[in-house]
Amino acid sequence: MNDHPDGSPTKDTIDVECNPNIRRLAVNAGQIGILPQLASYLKYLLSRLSAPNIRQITIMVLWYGEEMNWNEVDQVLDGVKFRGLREVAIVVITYLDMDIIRQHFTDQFPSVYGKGILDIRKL
Amino acid sequence: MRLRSYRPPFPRELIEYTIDYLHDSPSALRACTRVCRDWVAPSRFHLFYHRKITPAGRSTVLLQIRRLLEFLQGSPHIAFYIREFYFSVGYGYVPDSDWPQLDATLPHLLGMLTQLRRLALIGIPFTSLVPDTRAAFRALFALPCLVDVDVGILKVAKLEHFITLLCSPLKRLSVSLPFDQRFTFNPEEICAIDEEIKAVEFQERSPCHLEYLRSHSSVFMHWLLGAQNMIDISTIRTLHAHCDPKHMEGLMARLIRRLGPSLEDLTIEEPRLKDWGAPFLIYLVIIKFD
Repeated sequence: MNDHPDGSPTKDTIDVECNPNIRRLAVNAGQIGILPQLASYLKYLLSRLSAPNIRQITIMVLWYGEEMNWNEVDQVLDGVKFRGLREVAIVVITYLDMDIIRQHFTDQFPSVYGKGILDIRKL
Repeated sequence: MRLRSYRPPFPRELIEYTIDYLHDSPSALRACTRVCRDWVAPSRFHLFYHRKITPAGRSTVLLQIRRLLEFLQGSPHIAFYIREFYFSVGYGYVPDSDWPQLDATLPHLLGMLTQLRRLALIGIPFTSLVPDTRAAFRALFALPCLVDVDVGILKVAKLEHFITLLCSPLKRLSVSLPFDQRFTFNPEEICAIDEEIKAVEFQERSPCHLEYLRSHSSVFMHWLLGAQNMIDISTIRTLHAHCDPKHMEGLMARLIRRLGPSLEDLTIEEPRLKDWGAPFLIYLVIIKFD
């Protein structure tokens, strides 16, 4: 399945390296729940992105209360190529109290939160 | 004798601004139509902009279609205001016994919708329709003002039966064609529609320059990425990339590569996270220590 000699993701993996004019990027994982792979997937996707005009990133997740380490995603978003970002939106599908969820994501995205561009909301 | 006091006319921009503000309040819009003649057209524009036919309780699709047709036949000028038409027969909600009557009614209704800019069709058994109804749908798709099409579970025996509906003014397309084995088609119907599309295929056609695509159909994606010249994908700015089922992600990845710098707005729906295993983790280790 893996066609790349360097062991990179397969030819079927979406790669946005060739799309330098992306202004809005959204990942809707709202049907599959938070899997341990989600943060790694986002890290890979965002690491490949080289779009100076990127303004908005939206991540939609289904939340049953699992906690996950998002710091690696936050670190990527703290990079110089994302300095034009105006909003990082975390859209949560949940029946749980949003205050706890908001605190979780605020803790997990310290650099994005520090820039005042983190928007956590319920669908 | 007293002269009637002169009242300057209300500025048209102010009327339109006020009525636009009320666009989602049918009762207020209906009240606006009774204010004066100048308020009628802008109020009707919002009142009739979107028409929806969908199975709902006792109000069957056939009943709704008949009511709308009767209404438009009584007030044909209203059809001018209908710009969006959502037509769903649901998932098997229309009994087979209703289809002959629907086939008799639909061509008349569809023929009146000459100003559509958006058309949504859900569950339509296109291949199984009678020729007149198919022709009426074909005429809708050919409207020069129709720029936005959303088809879900369009029951077609062959992809060509759907593809030949698409015309050059189209800018936005959402496709979900299941090509489900559960759908059965009469071979005579398939032959009949094959003959119809031959005539269409021989016509000189300009390609659609799509700006928006949402696809949930691997069959359509295979065709789109193949050697076709009916849809120009180089103009797509917005893509909703469905990655489920599994083989869709690869097709979407190919399309995204092909779009290159034209892509501005990307939504990845249902990424295949469960498939991210050891090869990906090895890759992360490699890039970390590279």
